[in-house]
Amino acid sequence: MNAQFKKGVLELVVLLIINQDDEYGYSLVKRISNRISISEGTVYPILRRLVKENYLTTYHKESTEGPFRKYYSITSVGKDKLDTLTSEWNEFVDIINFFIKESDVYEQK
Amino acid sequence: MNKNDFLKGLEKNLKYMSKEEKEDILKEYSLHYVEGGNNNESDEEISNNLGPPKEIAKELNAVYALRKVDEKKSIKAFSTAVLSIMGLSIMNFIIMIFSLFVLLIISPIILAFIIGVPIMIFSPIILIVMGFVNGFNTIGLGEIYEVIKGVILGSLLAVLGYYVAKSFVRLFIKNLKWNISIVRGRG
Repeated sequence: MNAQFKKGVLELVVLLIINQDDEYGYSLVKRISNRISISEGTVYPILRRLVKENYLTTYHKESTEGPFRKYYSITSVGKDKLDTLTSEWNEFVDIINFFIKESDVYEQK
Repeated sequence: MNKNDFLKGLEKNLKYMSKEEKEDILKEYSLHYVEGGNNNESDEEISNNLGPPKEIAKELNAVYALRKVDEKKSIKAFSTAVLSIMGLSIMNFIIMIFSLFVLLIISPIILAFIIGVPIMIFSPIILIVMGFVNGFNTIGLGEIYEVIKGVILGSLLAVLGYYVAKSFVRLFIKNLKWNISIVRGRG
């Protein structure tokens, strides 16, 4: 995927994943990088920013394999933000699709 | 690059932040290596996937500086944020320079305001001092009228200036946030 596209939507992707289930850093990063090629290290700055803006909170949990895990969960403010970002995204997609269709029609003539 | 090199590279490039914040960040990346190891990833692979620590540090610096501005709107917090955002990429640098240029253009107005408004508000005191120096008989109705006008106008301007400055600060923070989001990180 185009690099410029990815940057804008990474925040939305992070919120969408954590909205389903609380996640810890490594697992979240892998869930994203399995589908989009990214510098995995850039997910953590986004997580920290979302925590500071109160969209996410964190808690620690023991794990069976390792020491402990830092989990991220979405707040009610975060859910509102997710709604806003999702509708903005849909609006954007609709507009782009309109132009794609228009261009297709033109080419078929 | 092994885990140690990555963490050292990161630590070296983290700037303007408290020790606790730095440690918290390093712990998070260190945990990432532990989890990766448990999933049979080598340190080398993990480092490659994470990307260059210097670039990651730059983003973390900008995120931290921006929160400081939100917390306390001091000149220091602002300049740190501006500096760290400028360091992100050429694009951010250009946007920031442009914003500062606009600020430079309107600075004479701000300066005139800072000097002018207090003079207007304190003009009665100036008039009384002048009365003592030159003798009160030199003060006519015209001067008193001017002083009253000055006080009223000065007070109005002060209130207006307060709100303009407040929304300006908010606008500037928005500009910083927008700037950070437009060119975030690398692909």
